[in-house]
Amino acid sequence: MRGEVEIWEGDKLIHKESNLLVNGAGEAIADMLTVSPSLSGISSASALLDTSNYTIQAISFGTDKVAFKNNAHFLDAAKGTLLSSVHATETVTAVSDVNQNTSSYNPVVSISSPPNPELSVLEPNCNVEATLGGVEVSSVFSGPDQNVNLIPKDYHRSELAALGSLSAVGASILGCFPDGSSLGGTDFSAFSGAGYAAGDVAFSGNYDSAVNEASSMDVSGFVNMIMSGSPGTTTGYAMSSTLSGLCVSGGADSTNSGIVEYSMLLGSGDVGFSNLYGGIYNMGLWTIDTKESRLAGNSPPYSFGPLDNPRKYKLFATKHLTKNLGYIQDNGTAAGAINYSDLTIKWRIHFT
Amino acid sequence: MKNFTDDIGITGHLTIIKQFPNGEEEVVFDDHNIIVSGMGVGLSYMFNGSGSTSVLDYQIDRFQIGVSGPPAGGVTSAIQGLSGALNSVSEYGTGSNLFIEDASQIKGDNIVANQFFALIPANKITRIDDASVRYTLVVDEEACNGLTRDSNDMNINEIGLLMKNPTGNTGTNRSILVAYRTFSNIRKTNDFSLIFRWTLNF
Repeated sequence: MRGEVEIWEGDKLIHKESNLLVNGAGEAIADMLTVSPSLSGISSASALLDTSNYTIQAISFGTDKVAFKNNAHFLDAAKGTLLSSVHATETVTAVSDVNQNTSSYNPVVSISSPPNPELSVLEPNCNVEATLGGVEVSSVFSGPDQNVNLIPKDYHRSELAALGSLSAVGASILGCFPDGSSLGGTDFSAFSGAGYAAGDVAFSGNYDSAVNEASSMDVSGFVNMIMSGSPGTTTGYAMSSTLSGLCVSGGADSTNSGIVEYSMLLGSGDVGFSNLYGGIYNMGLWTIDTKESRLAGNSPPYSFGPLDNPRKYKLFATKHLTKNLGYIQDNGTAAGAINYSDLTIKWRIHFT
Repeated sequence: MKNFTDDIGITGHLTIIKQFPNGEEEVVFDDHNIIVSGMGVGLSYMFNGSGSTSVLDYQIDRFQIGVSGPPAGGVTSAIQGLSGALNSVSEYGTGSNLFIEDASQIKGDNIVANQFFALIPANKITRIDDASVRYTLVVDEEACNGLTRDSNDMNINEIGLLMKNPTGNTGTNRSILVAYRTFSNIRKTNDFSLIFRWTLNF
């Protein structure tokens, strides 16, 4: 059993490499093989016998732990003043120390931890170090060591309620995906100095999110898997729509090839906005962790929801990249920051 | 701990034990098995959502015993069935404790009807660590004794584990071979039971 990841920008293949199947993959299969048939007679538990509890149900994105202490995650007094004064109820994002002569952001990152089959998260110890109103942001919302999704108003007002009127500022620090286009997206500003002075804006703009427009990403950054329109019958691994979340297709020849393909469209706004928070260096495929979901007090079936998602996830496979998916440069007079393209991620698992 | 590789190789290990009525045990075989392509086919049905929606259909809940191993083409992961699987309830032993199911079997693009499978009780399927499952198959004293075909004595020498019904076929189960192993001839008599201790690691 192995996997490979392809990343496409339009019809241009920009990356192709093997993935790393982690221990969680084997655990998920062993879970499936040993679930008790007697559960079929227990109405409150019979939903545990549905295959969706043991197959890949989400994809997520992350970066290295240093990025979570810098970039748009960074908070000091000047930035806190800026964020809380610009908008009291809406979220904006700001980064500092960019080159005044460019319109592209190059995030502060370090080297990701080495690939490790024992990983249960994309990158361990990704903690934001920020205090708002005397409250540690990480004590209010502790993310699963990946890029989280708290910018949308409904999300941060619910998850960061303990921050009160500063919840939008907290969301700005935690990130990492903008509002959908129907809500006007999310503004950002890049400053040339460290003081976030109004005269120091090097470039600014607005990004909107494909995943939040489709409500397919939960607050923790997990993009839900939706079934392909006609699984097992499509040819050439065609997907019905990758705009709505993570799609799956086995193709018509899946019984012979044993290949299952997962695909997702990562919108240009999602890529650009994530870049302000350290970019995208890691990706992961996840199954549902039925044990942890039950321990969290949730009963099957575990229906996905962006808020209060009852699903707890178990890492199945990871891909660590050496190049930031959000890396961009100005192209002549075209500003890099507003020149992002949609990316299509194709992740194939070979079961034979 | 898994090796540092990009993939996970599903592996297995089989131990065969003769158990006598006085409790004495004799290990007659102890070696790795072959995971065959049916494992990948069954799992791909589950992960792409095109097969059964119940995990019970993907569980390895049955086995076959055969008398014609090893296969003529050699033991490879392309094996789709035993070379000489027992083909009746009477061959498995009418007086045994084995529960035998007459069902179909997926062999490549073909569905072969009237195949006979011994079912594995749920309490003989054990999780032994995070990613390992042990199947304990008990061929009791009354099972598989005195096998003959065309008036020739036959010895058991191959065994396979099968996934129940990955395509989710309604009516008759369509099972698929997922693991296989040949071993030296064993002439089964009612003087002993055979215990197959089969561990799969994922």
